[in-house]
Amino acid sequence: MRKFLLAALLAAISISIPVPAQSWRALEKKLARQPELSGSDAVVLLDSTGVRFKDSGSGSFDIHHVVKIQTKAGALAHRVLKYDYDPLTALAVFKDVKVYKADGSVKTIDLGTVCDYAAPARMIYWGARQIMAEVGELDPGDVVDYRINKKGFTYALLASMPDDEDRFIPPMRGNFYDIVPFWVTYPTVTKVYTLDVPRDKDVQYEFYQGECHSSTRVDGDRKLLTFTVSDAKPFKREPNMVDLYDVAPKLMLSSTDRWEDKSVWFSGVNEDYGSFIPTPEVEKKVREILKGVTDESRKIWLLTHWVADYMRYSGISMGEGEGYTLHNAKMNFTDRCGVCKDKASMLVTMLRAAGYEAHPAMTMAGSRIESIPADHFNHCVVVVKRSSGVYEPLDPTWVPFTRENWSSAEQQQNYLPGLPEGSPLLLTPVSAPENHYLRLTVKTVLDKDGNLTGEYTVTAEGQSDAAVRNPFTKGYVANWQKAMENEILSIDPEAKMISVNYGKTPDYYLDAPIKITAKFSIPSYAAKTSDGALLYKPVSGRLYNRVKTFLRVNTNLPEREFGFKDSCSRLVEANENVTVPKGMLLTSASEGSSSNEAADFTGKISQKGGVVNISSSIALKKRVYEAEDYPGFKDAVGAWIAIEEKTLVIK
Amino acid sequence: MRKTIFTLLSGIMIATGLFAQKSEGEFLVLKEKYSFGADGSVVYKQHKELKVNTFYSIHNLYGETFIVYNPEFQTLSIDGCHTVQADETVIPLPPNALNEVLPSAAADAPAYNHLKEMVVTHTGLEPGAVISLDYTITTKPGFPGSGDIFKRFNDVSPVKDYTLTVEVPAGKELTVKDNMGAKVSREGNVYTIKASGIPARIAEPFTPVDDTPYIYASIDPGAGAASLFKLLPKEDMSTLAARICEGKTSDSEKMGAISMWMAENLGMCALPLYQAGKVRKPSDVVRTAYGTFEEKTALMLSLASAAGIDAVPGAMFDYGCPPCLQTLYGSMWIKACGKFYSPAGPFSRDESELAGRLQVLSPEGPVAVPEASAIVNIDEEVTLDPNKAVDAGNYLVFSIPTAFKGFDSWGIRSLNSSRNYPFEIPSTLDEKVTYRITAPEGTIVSEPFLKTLSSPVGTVKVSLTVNGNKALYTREAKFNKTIIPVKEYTSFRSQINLLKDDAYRRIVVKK
Repeated sequence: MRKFLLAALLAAISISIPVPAQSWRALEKKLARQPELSGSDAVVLLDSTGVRFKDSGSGSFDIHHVVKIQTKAGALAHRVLKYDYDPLTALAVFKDVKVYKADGSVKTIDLGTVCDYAAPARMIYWGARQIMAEVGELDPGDVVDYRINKKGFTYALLASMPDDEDRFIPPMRGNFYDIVPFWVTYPTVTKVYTLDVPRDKDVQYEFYQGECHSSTRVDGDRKLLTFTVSDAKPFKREPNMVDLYDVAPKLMLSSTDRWEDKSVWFSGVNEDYGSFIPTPEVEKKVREILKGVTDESRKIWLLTHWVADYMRYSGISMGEGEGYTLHNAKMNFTDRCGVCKDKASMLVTMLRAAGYEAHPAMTMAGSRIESIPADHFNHCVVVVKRSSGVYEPLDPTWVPFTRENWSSAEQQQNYLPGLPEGSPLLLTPVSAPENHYLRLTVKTVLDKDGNLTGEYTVTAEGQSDAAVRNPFTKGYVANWQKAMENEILSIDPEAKMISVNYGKTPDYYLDAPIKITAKFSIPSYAAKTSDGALLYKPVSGRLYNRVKTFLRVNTNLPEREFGFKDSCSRLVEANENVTVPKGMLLTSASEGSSSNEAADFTGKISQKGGVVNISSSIALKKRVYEAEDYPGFKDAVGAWIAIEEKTLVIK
Repeated sequence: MRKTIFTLLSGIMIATGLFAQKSEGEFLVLKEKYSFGADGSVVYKQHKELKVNTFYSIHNLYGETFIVYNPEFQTLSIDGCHTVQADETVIPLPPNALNEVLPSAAADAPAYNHLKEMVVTHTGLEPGAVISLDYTITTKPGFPGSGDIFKRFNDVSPVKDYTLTVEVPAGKELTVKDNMGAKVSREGNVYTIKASGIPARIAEPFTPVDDTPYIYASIDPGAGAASLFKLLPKEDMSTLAARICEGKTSDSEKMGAISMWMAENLGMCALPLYQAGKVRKPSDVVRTAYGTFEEKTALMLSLASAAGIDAVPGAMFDYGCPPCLQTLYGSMWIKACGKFYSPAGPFSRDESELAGRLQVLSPEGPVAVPEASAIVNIDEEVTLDPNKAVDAGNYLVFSIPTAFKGFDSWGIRSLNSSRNYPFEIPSTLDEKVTYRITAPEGTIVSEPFLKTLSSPVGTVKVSLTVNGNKALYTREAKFNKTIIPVKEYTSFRSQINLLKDDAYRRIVVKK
């Protein structure tokens, strides 16, 4: 009987008909048989999304959530119910909100009290809205049952809210896609997604990184696809792990056949709009930037960084087409602001004005794009055709004040160029660690009382350059000197900065890698023992640790189940020479090395004459690592720590 | 009544030299005007011309102006906005650069869902460009705190010329207070307060709030702060109070239960009263399961009253400036059973713990708050644990234990060698820490030390004596004032460094 009730419920959901009131009681009974969930703040009895897809590509989404409150914290978390939508491409309304009190009474929320408002926003001001229903005071044992209907799509917008339903039709007319996370925040008894499409509509789908019950049923001229997961638990997490989209259960659906089709569409929609037609002002600026420059790489470099630096990230709406249409040259050059797609548009325009073939491209910063052409994108970049005929990706949004055209914080990332001839999905390569070197040269003199004087020089490139240069490019001018002193204070709070040389314009990054030299002294730096030893910690192991991002990857875990991320591949080399008091010797030299697919390390502590040398080199070879890379990564980082954080005994 | 997130700076008497340095930007002109109507209405106008100098100022500081207002009481008009680029090209404000959103402090609070934050996106910015903006906020009578003007000047860019004009109703006087030497003049019922050359102010840790330049002006000084208590609604909450306090016998137990119930059952809405504009009834707060500080205060008072407990509200204001709703110190407290209870969480403090540089008002008037002082005496036997040591060949290096009170609890990190503003420590201090240390294995080979540093702030002394596998570590710190002026900072920093220095915080044991 129980099975029948549950099956009847799911059947009702899957054919998108109104579910009988309180039909979730069967799911509540199912929950009662799982006492291990009694400590959870809330349990989702039903999380159902039913989508009815029209020929135009517009969708009608019926969302039905039933949540059982189990603790006071769960009650507070559900005192308001919210849902986001873009008013120019979609409309969302609460259809019903009820609270089934533990005492058997039912509280129906007056839908006239629902708030529909411009959502809080920073950086992107496109008029995104939220609806919010106030449930108010709840008690453990209460069940919150609510339904939302959304019409439209989740991409762009079309002008001034016409009364007809045209605004809900996606720009790639007739095409539908959806990306459905199947991981859950609270334990969930049943999560179901149904798609109701015309019978003759082909839809590709795949359920990734997990299992579900799926079915396809034909009913007249409609076809119903149903995907159900039962008894889902919150997904396990690990420090520094890859995005949940890369490891947790998800469903991807698309009616588009190939990525090439999407590429052609993306190219066409922006070419048709005229996004990349330069104005006389833009052409003049390009001539000004490239005056006297003949080298192709230098030209692309200068244009990419003009857009990166001079066009700040702040999104205002262009009205019709916002979200998928790139702002045109006039708007971009006048506004000097926009989101990633607008910066991309400005760069495409300037490159074309300079005589290059350039196109916009879509990418997904943070997670993988699957082979099914669902629009799993959150970022827009550029490709330029070099004279060699090879397309090179450029990202003016991620490289302000960074000595790269394509940010290596985005290496191993999928992207799709919008080309007239179409493009498959591509992947950015790994950037060699040498492209992001951090080199520290330290020369110090230690006296018999443990006092230290010395100097260091830091040089860096790529992402490491950006991090070392950060106080000059992303900090107050008035604080530059203090920022340099702070680096020395990171060695020891008693450290004194004697001098520092960072050149005249350390904020200007386009011509050469950063170089900083500082002289310092630290009283009583080495611990002096009563039996005549000095205990010394390498200075290089304490300098610029904010740049050594591999130290922020948790290597205390014995093993990892999931892939993990560093911020970038990187090479860190340190060479420290310590002149020790006459006659004193390093009591034990040491040496270490590690080499594997994830990372390489070599390091050595030795003495020659009166100078103790600490040298190390660690190359972290990727930004995104597989779980299988973890032992090698852990070994190399551990070996680095064993050298650079070792307490040396000099006696 | 906060009109803008732009809070600007002043302090012309503070000779920091910052004005001479390259700054992120410069307010070439900043003019504000308040016109107080006889009916309690207020018309506020602002005009600013801000030159942006750096990419940082464009990307991170001044790209948008955010203006929060409450449409129940206020209307906003943008009277003009444009950017003049470095080559004098004028970029008018496009219509799509004005966007209203919900202020984030009003999120999840349906009762305040009507509040608006106007985002003015400044287009055409580049180094050397000048942003020009004019706007007006008109406030209806009855908006809490609207009779007070309070402006704190703490922007990272200097202000070349600042003018505050206040038009008062006939027969009214304007009271002006400031700590920046502003010039006040009066012509008829119009007051003009001027300051020029107001330096940039870049935050430093442990800066006393009252060191920040401000101007306060009011046509009814003190009324705004006093109105706070009049706005707290009272309601009979005896049914709920009885349920919460069931089984509790003493007043103290009942207050503890009320405090816990409020923390567990109510969400927080962090809107300040000068934006919220109202305080809802206690029953509405319970029904909706959230409240502002003031609403929770009113509820807690009603619950305490229903439980038969004598409770009084207290409001804390920034020190060193006239109390008004704009300087409400982020929270209110309820005094009951000899303690101060927070309506925001299950916290209570003894009166002595409330001491510090605060201004506390109750409905009866100011509450005297003693100077904060910490007396710390720690005398402990410490047996060194080799599992917590750093292994250095034949040696083990141990760290002296960190205390959970007194100096170690202040969280002072590395300090820069120079400073522009005074330094504030949480309390005066009389601390004596003694650790009688035993190494279970090996011999302690740390060099003994005895170091004493004195300054106008006080005295710091650290010492270590060693005898075989035993050592005696002592640390004494006496700080006799909480505000350390810039001229005393260098010697004070040396004392802080002595207290923090690893060289005087480690024990070395030879295996």
